[in-house]
Amino acid sequence: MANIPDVKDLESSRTMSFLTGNKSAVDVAKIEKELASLWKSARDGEETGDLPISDHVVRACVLNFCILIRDGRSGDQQRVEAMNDLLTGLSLRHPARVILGLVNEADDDSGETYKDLEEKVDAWVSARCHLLPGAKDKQVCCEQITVETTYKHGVGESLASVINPLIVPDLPAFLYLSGFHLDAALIKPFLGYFQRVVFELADNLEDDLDLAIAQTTSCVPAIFALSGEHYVHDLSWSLIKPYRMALAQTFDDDDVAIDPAMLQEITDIELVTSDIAQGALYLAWLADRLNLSPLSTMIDKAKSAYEITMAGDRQIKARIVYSAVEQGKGIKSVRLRFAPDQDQGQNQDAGLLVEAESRVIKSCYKGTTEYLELPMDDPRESAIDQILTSKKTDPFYLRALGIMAAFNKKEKKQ
Amino acid sequence: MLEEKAPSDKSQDEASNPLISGLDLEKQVKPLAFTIFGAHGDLNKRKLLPAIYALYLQGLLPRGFVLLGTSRTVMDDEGFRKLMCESLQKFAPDLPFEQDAWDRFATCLFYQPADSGSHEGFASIKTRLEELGQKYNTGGRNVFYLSTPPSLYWPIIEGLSKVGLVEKRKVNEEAWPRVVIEKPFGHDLSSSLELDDHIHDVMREHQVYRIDHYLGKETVQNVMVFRFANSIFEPIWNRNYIEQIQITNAETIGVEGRGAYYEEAGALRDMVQNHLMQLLALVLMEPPIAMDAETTRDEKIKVLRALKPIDLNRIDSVAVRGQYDQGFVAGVEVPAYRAEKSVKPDSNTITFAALKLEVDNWRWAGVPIYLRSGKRMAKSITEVSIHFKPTPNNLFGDIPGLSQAPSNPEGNVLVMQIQPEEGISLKFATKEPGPTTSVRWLNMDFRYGTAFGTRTPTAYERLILDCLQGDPSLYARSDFVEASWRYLQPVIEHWEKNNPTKFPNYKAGSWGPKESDDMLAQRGHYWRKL
Repeated sequence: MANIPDVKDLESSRTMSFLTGNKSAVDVAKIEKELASLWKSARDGEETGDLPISDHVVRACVLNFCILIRDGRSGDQQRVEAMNDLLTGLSLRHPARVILGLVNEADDDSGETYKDLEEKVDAWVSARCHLLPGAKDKQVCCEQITVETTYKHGVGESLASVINPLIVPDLPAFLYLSGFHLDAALIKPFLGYFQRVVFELADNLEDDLDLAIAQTTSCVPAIFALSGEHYVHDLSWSLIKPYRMALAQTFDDDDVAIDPAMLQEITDIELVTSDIAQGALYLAWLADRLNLSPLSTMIDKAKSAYEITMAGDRQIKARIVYSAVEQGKGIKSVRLRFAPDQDQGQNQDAGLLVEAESRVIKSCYKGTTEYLELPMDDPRESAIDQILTSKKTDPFYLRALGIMAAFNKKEKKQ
Repeated sequence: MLEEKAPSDKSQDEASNPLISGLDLEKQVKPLAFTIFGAHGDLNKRKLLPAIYALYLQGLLPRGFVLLGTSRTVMDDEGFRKLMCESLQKFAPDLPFEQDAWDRFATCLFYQPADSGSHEGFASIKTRLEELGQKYNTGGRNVFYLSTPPSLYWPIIEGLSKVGLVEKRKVNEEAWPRVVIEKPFGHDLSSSLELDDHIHDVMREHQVYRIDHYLGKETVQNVMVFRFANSIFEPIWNRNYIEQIQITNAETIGVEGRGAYYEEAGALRDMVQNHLMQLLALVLMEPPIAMDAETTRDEKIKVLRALKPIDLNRIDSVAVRGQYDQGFVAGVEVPAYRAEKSVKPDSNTITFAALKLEVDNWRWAGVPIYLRSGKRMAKSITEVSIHFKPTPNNLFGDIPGLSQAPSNPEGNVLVMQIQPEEGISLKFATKEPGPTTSVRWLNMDFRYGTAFGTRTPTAYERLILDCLQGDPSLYARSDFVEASWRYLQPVIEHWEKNNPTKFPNYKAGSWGPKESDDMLAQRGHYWRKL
């Protein structure tokens, strides 16, 4: 006769599995109840010594962090895995109730349609536990709830009806849209419950320079509308912060070669980027800081470049060059050229070059190089880290966004 | 060292049995017969029988205990025991089931089929109780539990009276028999008064136990302990420190096959008039001078009497009603109320009610109290939240965005959660670690389920035990029920006279109609996001 495991053993093993980060399937209608039962069982196990876990397990939560992700079927599985990696680090610094909303989509490549997908909602719970730095006998644990559903008509309402009630009251609630368009009907049912919306402008734009700039027309109003009642946090904006700092410090440090007055002598800006959203935002930020407005735009498809003439009390030519790369998407370099009497003639390499290298941003001007160290963490993790501690929408972001929208409004020259 | 004095007056039990001293048996229940009308119904199967069995397992029932079930359904004692055994295993998974223990318990279960509309029915119950009384020495001590539709309350009490099973006792006499009545007690003020008049013709008030199962919940009882056993809260429990109070009762379920009942009741009668008004009284009452039943209930009734009467010209600005439409709950599409079974397709029954109340006394003047109750809401939760005023000066106000955050208001919030997880939490501000002074609001949580290792008794366990012991503290007194109906009567009449124009007006899975949010917005408040 086969040995039948004891109920208590089964419970212990389920709890242990939960505490070590494995997903435990739960009834969608009883997620909170199941979580409470697992935590209670963990605490009881801790007291009786039934569970080989640290003596001090602290269940912690300072915020709600919900991530909506398009799941696996269309090659977005990488996105899910990347998010899991990212959460490992974030959950230590920001103990949160993490809610992962996975939306399965039909795999167009294999001829699958929405009708082929089974209409159902599944849920799992798991814990993320970390030993506290400097306290080897103490663990801090937070919980993750994974909800998976199928992209069907009404999926937003259906998914929101599971996720929204899971928000811990009184704590900040962040909704991170990974791979979803801002104006998608899917996100509307969530907005009443989340005060902060995190997204990446790049997810809303095509990898085609002209098309991407055109898409800002619909995207920017959606962000402005959202910012009326929510705090909006754009990862594309957060990711360019080191470049903004590098440039600002180049003109600001006491011992630096460039006098801030030189900002008035800029004649030419060239920006090389493998992320159009970041490039456009950076240029728009610079234009805002220099009191410039777009006058006219021109696409140079052969060179994958977008040229923008901007004017304030002077005229400046700006150029975004798109350079597609597989890895490390982002701004590659920014070059500013200055009026000839201040600069070194019309030399192509003249002016200030701000360039990214591994873990550092270099600012080179007239043979002098300054370095801005980048955070040790993954840039995206650092960016989200900052977003989670920020208190409001960055007003400079909204200003930059307003100018970026005008990149496309002006009459085009071909 | 002081010597403990021996009690000067021995109780009657002690006099006859000196061994009883020191065994904490002072409140031991005397032998009695507990008769349940509607014994074949859902309430008995799901709540009453499991509660009584739990009391049995804890040794809290007397040896001479008889449970007599009765209803129209014909079955014998064995059939009833089998049915109860199945129900227990189905509806009380938290109770350890052992056949031997059940078999011992089942010997005190009996069943008497009876039509509560006929004299013969009551006569047969009386005969059976007399037989069992002789066998089990119950001494004529009877408790009658009316687990029936409200329309049968008076016919049953009248029937019991006519066969002599119910009779008026003097105030200073032990209250036997006792009658336990489930809510709703009346349909409105006049029907409640009428029912009370009838009952008081044949029984005195101290024999009537109007059950409100909310009052049996641990957290509800803990409200008093929390307030009056901790010296740090009571000094700030007033209009000087409290900005507003919210009481929420939300259910994700619809009418669940009770459409016919709910069509007559609606949210105001089903939840607000009883459960929420009781919670309100517990939160707002003055400290009683003692913990006996009458003193506590005296303080509770004072709260209801201090409620500022509803201005008849402004009812719509302080009372909001709603009915749910189709929507999604926990990922499942659910039908509109009007599409539920046994509900009229043009029904105007309310499934959501929200009220703004004010208590006109020294402690609470000017503090708005918001109540809401609804079905098919986003989440099942019952809680009381006390919203404290913000600090007088905004020392950290230069932190951008903090004070404007729309759903993260300044000010401490104390939450007493009644269900599903019983507990207490306090929201407070703290400095975020780091080189800048940045404020972050956090919750400090206490959960009953994890703080105490013991099983939490169900509300019915506590309430039934109290009734057996003759302690009505956690039962609603006649004057409380009357005051509650009296306060709500203008709203009931106003809603009956003026049909809603926009029903259904909220989606299933939401937090009710927009008008409910607007009602709070008048004072710059908003419902807590739950």
